[in-house]
Parts: sequence; structure tokens; C-alpha cells
Amino acid sequence: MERWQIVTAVVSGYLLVTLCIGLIAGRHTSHSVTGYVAADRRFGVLPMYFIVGGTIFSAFAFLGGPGWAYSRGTAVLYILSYGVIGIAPWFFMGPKAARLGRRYDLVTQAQLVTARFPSRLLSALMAVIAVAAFIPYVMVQMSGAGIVFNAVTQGHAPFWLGAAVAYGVVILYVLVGGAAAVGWTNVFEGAVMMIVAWGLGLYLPYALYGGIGPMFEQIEAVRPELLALPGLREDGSPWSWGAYSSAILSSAIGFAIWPHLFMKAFTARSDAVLRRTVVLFPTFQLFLIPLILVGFAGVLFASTPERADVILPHMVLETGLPAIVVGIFCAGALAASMSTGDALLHGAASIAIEDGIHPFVTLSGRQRRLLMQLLVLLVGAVAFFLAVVKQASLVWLLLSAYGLIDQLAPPVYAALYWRRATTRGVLAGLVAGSATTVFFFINPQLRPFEIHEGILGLVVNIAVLIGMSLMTPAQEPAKSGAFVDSRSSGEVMHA
Amino acid sequence: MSETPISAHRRLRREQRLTIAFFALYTLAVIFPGVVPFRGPRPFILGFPLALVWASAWIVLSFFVLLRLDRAYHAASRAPGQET
Repeated sequence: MERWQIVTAVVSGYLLVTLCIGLIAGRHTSHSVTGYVAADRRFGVLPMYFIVGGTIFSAFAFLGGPGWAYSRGTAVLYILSYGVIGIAPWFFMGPKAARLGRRYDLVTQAQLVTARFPSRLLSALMAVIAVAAFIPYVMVQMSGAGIVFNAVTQGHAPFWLGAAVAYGVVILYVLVGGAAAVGWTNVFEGAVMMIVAWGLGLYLPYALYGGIGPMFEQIEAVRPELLALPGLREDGSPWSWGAYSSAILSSAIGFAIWPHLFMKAFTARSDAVLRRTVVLFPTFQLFLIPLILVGFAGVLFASTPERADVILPHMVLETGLPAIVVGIFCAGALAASMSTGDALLHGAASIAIEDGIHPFVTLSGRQRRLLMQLLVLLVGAVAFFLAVVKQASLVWLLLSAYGLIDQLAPPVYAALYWRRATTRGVLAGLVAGSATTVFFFINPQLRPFEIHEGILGLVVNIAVLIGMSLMTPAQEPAKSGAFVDSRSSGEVMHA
Repeated sequence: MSETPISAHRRLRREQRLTIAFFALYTLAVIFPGVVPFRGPRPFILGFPLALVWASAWIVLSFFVLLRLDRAYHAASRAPGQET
């Protein structure tokens, strides 16, 4: 058997196991909307741990993380720095959202916000922002799958075929199994991806440099600028502190607000499960360290890849690892892509129907579930078409998505924590913040200190939210109180 | 020895405040200007450049801080007398 055939066999095995897990998991949930979108609110700590970790760590982390370390040095530490800060608010916010979800029968983020601030326009606006941010994100995941497949089969599998096979499997299990399939496949995908990352991250520095210490000493001798913060820009010039710091802040704020992740709060069995998921998250975050080490190992590597973000597959192929290991690596990279892509496809379909269509058209639960399944197919097909046909604009789209997602944070926090917030205040803030973000994204040279456009949008968003809320009549105390005063077991209410 | 209900709830409130303070400090320590003294690369610690160790150490520390907070929730939810 030729090398690429062994690789393909290992990857096919991985895809088959994933598909089986997804199909079996989906059989045990109810046929209701809550079953499809929130897995009947039954997940325990194990699936939740991998859902959160697997959903967050995407093909971008797996390929982009090493790519950044390789080409931009310590600039990559911003990715390492924001994750835990970003997930920490979920310790408080997650259980609170979940409790309100059980009380008001909510399954999406916009439903939570509009339960406090009733407005169909707000619901539709949040749905548009979410879906607009998801599509480029799914495209990046599909491209990641295609790139890896193409590289490790030495060109025998074309780019489009890799993306089609991996996402054919994802669409099948998301269609059939919904959130339950997303959850249980993420357990498997997450485990594969962690094993591969730690294995390669520890192996490559030893194999190539005789250890991690010697590796960094050699890099310091040749390229010292790579090892001091805030690292470099893409063109190799020094990055600015303003850009580095605001990248951390904007990512941390948007992190737990990403609607496909946020809505997973509604899938947990209990408050304690959600809290433990947050407690354990730092152990998942550490998995970025081996990926960063791989990127640094590439700095003094004998040959250079065509693009920085293929440094990982490039080294895997060039170091003469056994074909089975290359196959397992490929499975790990696909797992990173698929465990994020599945949540995005499922989230986009659920949100479009529940928040974009359902508030305007009366539909039965059965019709909504069916429409969601159709949309999974449609979103998957659109993203696949765009990913294969138009690859150039991806990074542009993805970056703009992050700034927009930040703008969903004030509505969510206001719904849960600020009594005096009003529907008009939240709506005006969201519109003004999103417009500001888009403006500075299109005109980056106008940003003060290179601060991320999402942070600039947030400043406007929060100011308008507060100003407009104070100018409009307060909500009835019973209504705002039901959200703000909702406490979890153990928390004592102040009299 | 089990805690009294009052002390369990009081401990939870204290832990909540401590956790929020910890994450505020964490944020300031990894952005400008808090991170400047640790921008590295020297000294190397166990072979790793200082900036990488600094970012990683906060992650490890967070795990223990969150664990303490979770324990406090657990103790308080077992203590009688809470209104929910």
C-alpha cells in the first residue's frame, strides 16, 4: 500500500467512527425543538467539557495558531491569553441563562434577550448578526479540512473533495441528531485533537532540536525579535501594544457571547454542570501550548511552507513520520475543523428559524424542526460553494465577524444584570455599536492606537445603551426583576 | 466538620468577590502596560521564554481559583436557609 493510501485509510476510519457516534447519539433525544436545539437539556460534565473546548478550538487554532507562532512569534500569545478570561463570566452567566431557559422555555441567545426586551426587530437583528458571522466561520473550517486533506494525501485528494467528505459527514449527523450528535461527536473529536496536539507539540521540538530549551535558545540566537512581546505583524515589522492588548480584550469579551457557544448553556443538565465546565476549561486552553511549540519548531526548519498557516502539515510531512501518524494527525486537524463546524451549522440553522423566522410566522414545533434541518443543508451548501469558489476574502470576513459578535455582549449583560435597561436602549446600542464596528473595519487607518474596531464599537454601544435606557421609561420591576434577581442554588438573595 | 449555613453563604460571597478581583488582575497582567515587565524572552524558565510562561501561569492559576469558587457554591447549596 502506498503512503497516501494508508493516510486515507486512517482518516476514513476516523470519519466512520465519528459518523456512527453522531447517528447513535441522535437516536436518544426527543423529536421536539428542544430536543433538536438543546438536546433536551440533559448534558453532563463530560460532553459539556468537550463541547465548549471543541467548539472553541477550530481549524483556525489548529492551523492558524502554529502559523502565527511561526511567522509572528509571541504575537500568538494573545490567543493563549484571552480564552480563560473570556470563559470566566460564563461561570455566573451560564447557569443564570440556563435557569431562565428552563423557566421560559428558551433555546437561543436572542430568545433570552427578547424575553427581557420584547422586540421582533431585536430578535431579527441578532439573528442576522449571528448568521452573518457564522457563514465565513464555517467557510474557514471547510477550507481547513480541504487544505489538510489535500496536503497529507500529497495532492491525491483535491481541496474540494476533502472539504466535501468531511462536511458530508458533519451535515449528515447534524441533520439526524441535532445538538445530541454535535455534543457526543465533540467528545470523540475533542479527544483526538488533544492527543494529536500534545503528541506533536512534545515530539517535534525533541526530534528537531533535542528539547524545548535548546529550541528556544537557537531561535533566540537567530531571530530574537520573535520571542519578545508583542511580536510581529504579518509583514514582519513589530506589532503595536494597542493592537495586541485590544485583540485580547475584544476576543475575551466576544468569547462566551458567540451565539453557537452561548446557546450550549441551554443543553446542560444543571447549574453545577455548567460551572464545572468553566472550572475545567483552563485544562483545555493549555492545549494551545503544544500547537505554539510546533509553530516555533518551524522557525529554524530546513524548508519553508508556501503559507504560514500550513506550517503544521508541512512539518508533519517533511519530518518523515510514519504514514499512520500522518493519518492520525490529519484526523486531529479534521476533528478541530468538524467540532467547530458542526456547532456553527447547527447554530446557524437553529438561530435563523427560532429568532429570524418564528417571531414573524407562526409555525408548529414539527415544522420548525424540519425547517432547521433544511437550513443545515442550505447553509452547508452555501458555505461550501463560497469556500471552494472564493477563498480570498475569508480572512477579511472572519475578522469583521469578531467585532460584530462583541456587539451582542451589551444586550446579553443588560438582560441579565441591569434593571434599568430598556428595549429601546438595547436596540439603539446594538445598531450604533454595529455601525461603528463596520465603519472602523472599513477605515482601519482612523482607529486610535490601532485599537480593535470591536472595542470601539462597544464603547459607542454601551454609551448609547445607557443613555437611551435612562431617557426611556423603566421596565416594570416584576419583569426586570425576574431576570436580574434570578439566583442559582447556593446564592442567597439580598433582602 | 460541616460549616454552618451562615458561614457557607458568607464564604461564597467572599469567594465570588475574590474571583472577580482575580480575573480583573489577570486581564491587567496580560495587556499593556501590565505585561511589559514580562515581555521576555529572558529569563528562560524550564526552557520556555518568560512571556510564554507568564501567559500559561495565569491559566493554571485560574483553574485553582475557579475550583475554589465551585467548592464554595457546592458548600452553600448544601447549607440550609437559602432562598431560591
